[in-house]
Amino acid sequence: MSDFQVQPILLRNAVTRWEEQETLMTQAVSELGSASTDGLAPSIRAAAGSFLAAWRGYAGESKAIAEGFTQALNDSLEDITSTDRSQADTYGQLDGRLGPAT
Amino acid sequence: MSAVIEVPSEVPAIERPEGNPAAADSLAEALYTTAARYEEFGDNAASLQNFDGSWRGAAYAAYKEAAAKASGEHSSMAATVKRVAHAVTSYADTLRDLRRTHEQLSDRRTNLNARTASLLEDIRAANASAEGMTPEVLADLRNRGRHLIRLVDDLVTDRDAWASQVQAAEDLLRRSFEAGTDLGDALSELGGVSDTARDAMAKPGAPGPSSSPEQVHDWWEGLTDAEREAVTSAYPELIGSADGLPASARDDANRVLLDGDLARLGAKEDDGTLSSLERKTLDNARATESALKNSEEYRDPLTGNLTGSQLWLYDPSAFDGDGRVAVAVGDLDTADDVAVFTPGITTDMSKVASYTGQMNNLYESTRYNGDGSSVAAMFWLGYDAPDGVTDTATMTEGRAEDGGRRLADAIDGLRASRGDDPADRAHLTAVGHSYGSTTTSYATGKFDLDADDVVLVGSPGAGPSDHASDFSVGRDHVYVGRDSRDIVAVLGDEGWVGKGGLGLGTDPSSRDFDATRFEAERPDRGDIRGAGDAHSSYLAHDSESLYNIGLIVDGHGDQVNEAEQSYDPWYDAPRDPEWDRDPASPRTPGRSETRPEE
Repeated sequence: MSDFQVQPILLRNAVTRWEEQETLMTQAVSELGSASTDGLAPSIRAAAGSFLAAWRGYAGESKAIAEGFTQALNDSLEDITSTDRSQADTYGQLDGRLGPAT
Repeated sequence: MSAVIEVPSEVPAIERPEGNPAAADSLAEALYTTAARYEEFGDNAASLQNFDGSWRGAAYAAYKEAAAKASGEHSSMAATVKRVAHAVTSYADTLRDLRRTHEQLSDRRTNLNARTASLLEDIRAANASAEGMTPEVLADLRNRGRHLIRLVDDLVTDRDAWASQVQAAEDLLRRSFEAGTDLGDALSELGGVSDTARDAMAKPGAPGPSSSPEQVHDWWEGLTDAEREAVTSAYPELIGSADGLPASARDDANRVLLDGDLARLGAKEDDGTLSSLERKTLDNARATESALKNSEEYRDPLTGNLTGSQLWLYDPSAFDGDGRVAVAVGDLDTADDVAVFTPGITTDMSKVASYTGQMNNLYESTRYNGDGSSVAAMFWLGYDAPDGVTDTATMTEGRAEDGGRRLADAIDGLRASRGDDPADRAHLTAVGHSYGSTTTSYATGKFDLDADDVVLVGSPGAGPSDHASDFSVGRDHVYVGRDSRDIVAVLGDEGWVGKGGLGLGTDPSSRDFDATRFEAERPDRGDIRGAGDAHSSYLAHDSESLYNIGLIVDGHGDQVNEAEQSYDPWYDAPRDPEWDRDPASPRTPGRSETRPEE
């Protein structure tokens, strides 16, 4: 069994930062979508257009990656706090005294 | 009888290159913003792996592995999109140049077509005249025709070369986009780098640790225009700091980097994600932009023409954000006389605009009192100057020694960039101020600085050298300016008694050092040493000091107004004969006049 320890507050902070990253990548998707190739000579525009389209896709993937980290960390937090709560109930019901239960 | 007069055909209109530089800059800005987002992702994913032991276990191990992978990949993506953004910036700059050339070619075409039409008219008139076509008139018309044909041939040659450059610029950017589009390329270390650039960098002598400045110079000379554009666009960091390359090439590359930093770090500033080092880097980039803007408006005092400026070195995050930078007023590639100014303590990149202004002064004085030779004056901050009087590095010579080596290397690079033809060799003067004079002393006293003349002003000591003859330029080419009220310039030893290590070696204005000391007193000096700004006025307009430094930079050090050297008698305190001399009033011809009347 592995050594286990966690401070939920730090996970919450990490969630916040991943959410911010998700927002930034959402903006990147939008900015790449609105970037114009009009300033380039016609012979370059097709290649530039393909580049922007591809990178818009990559930025979308990156947004999904950030979202994935956010979700996974949230899930961990929820599992940990819920397990902790549930275990607290279990331990709360233990009768640690000698003699008949009251 | 009929006679033949050859006349050139009308030159057809020259098509303006397609594309819009300002709109291309906007596209580059969007890409720099994307690069900023990817950098932030990479940095965040790296920093969010570390929970300082507060999260341990199997889940953490799996999370950390995933975050590490995301960090690495996003950092690679950031580098690729930044390279492509650089390529777009470079294209926009090239397009501006090509448009300027287009205007010049079109003007030439208009002029030549008009002259051809005029010749045809004259031929018709001669034919229709009562005397007919006399032999003299025929000879004159034939000469004009032949001359015009030569001019048209030259124009067509230049037009074709220009059209090839247009095509090459478009091909280069197209290939840069293509080289960064597929995911494999986007994640690669060479994402966004065109084949042309890769092939050029594989040639012998390309900038790198194993190439000498002379080899780098030869490598550049062997590249085609298209290859030069390609390497500038793909490797601006390398090209911008490569010793041996022409200043114009370094300038092009460094301006690409500057534009990129302003846009990319500006985006991060807007996002609120700047690190402290990036904050300093952005401030340094803005200071450099301001310096260049000011110097680009500066005009030669004699011709009234813009002098132009060159960003010879640009490394704004170096030395923990103090930065490295060099800006020249004038053209380092062609100037007859070149000055390289090394500053002292407290100088970091935030002061580049102020020092570039002082280079305007130096340029101005050199030209105004000069022999008509062309001039370039460069502010060089290529070393880590101590932060201030409380910085322990100020009292030691380590930074000066390191800086001296760097300065000597920089000068070697400048020398190599102009080739080995003696006719192209500049008269070069190294000017060091304050701690920078000690740095310059190391360069010339220990690292064989390849300068013609050396000027030390406001010097706390000449570092490793006890005598002017220890300098690589020889005793007769060492000049020293010391304002008698400058408190820093009296720290060095002026006699055998010494000052107990207070300064940084021998005072170069002293008899013992035996350099040529020149007048450098301020007209508004007081009676107290250290009062006022004696230490920071050596390049002030219409001062004795600037007048004399200008003469030295112009190659006429033998004409400086000499001052008596200081000395330190064993029985008394050090003495400075300049203390009691009446300084020249400002704008005294032959003493302190350094510019035209305003």
